[in-house]
Amino acid sequence: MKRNKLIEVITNRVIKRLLEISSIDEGSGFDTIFNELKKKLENIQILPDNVISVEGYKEHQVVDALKEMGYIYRKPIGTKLHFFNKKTSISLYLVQNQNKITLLP
Amino acid sequence: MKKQRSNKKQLKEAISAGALSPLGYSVLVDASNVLEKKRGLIRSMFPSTNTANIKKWFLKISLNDKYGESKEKLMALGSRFSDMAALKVLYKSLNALKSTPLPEAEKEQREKDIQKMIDKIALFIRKRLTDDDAELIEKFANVINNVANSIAAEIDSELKASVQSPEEEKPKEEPKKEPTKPIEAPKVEGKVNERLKNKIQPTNENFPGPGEIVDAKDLDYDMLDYFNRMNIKLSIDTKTKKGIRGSVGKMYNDLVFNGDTINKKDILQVKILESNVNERLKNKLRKKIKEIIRTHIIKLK
Repeated sequence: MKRNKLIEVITNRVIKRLLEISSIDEGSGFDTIFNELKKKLENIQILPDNVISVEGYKEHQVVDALKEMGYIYRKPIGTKLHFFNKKTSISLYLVQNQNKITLLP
Repeated sequence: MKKQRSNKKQLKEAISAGALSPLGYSVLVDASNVLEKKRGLIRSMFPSTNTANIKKWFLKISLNDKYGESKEKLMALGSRFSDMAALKVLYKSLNALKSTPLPEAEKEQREKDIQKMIDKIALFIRKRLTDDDAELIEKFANVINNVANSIAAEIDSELKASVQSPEEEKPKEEPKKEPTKPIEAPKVEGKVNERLKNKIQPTNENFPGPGEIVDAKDLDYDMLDYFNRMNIKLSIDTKTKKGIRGSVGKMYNDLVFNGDTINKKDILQVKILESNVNERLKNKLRKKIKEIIRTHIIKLK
């Protein structure tokens, strides 16, 4: 009985660690996304609460950049344009007329 | 405040109440791509038509007085829809419907199929438009409908060209009797529609994935069918209770939530939980790791 519990604990720890590593590899972190987007749009900035400011860029430039990064356009929510990355399961919302991208992990 | 609300209502009506003809939505989202980037998605609808001719249809939009001031908004809208795989598939299906040869007797049915497909495309686009886009519809409705009429006329003429006269049909049947291809040859006309319908079977590409929230208004048949097909686990928020674990299944040919114990009308939103596929993979991984650890413990002993 004790041995089974020990196996269970070790298994859980290994899985937890594996998941941590895999989530880093998938590039789902905020910094990863920001850096990737910065390669395409140089003058973007980080704002609080996982928000990226894309001020100075036209909406179609931002949309094109997101598409190149593998995000596909989904149904919008109000004025928020929804972009979804299948590989990382990350949703990004581009707020129309406000030049802001919100990250939703 | 009231004025603002009525403005918003007007905009929403512009999207949904048919200010544009169904084909107009395709024109709206592709206008800037055709005019500025010279690579519109609409080309998949007319692969045999010259690019310059397609551009000619759209020129009416660029000649409009309001085009200059709205150019950027049109470009932003165009970039969202450019290279959209699902839309491309719909356009290709429409092309196949209008250009696949058919006997005279099936022309009426084919026209209905084409109309259905155009409506489907319009609905697909409409669901992805925002209030900002509705302003564009208001500005350009007339000219866009004009372009849509030209496209409709082209579809009509291509369909007419595809209709075979009875004399044309006969010689085509003869080579089918050749012994070299006994199985592929009998392509019955009736199967064309079936094949095309199969082509537009819903893909999962544009459906939400794990972690995403779907509003009650988006819980249409296609969405429920997707939940059912993929056996997706859901967290359902109703008017009275939040976070009910559940799924969609078939009951008496209807798609229902949790064996029809939750009424669709009561649902506010559903959240897609981690997919079963991941769960299965995790379980497999868990089993494997357990085995490895077990053998190591035995060795240590």
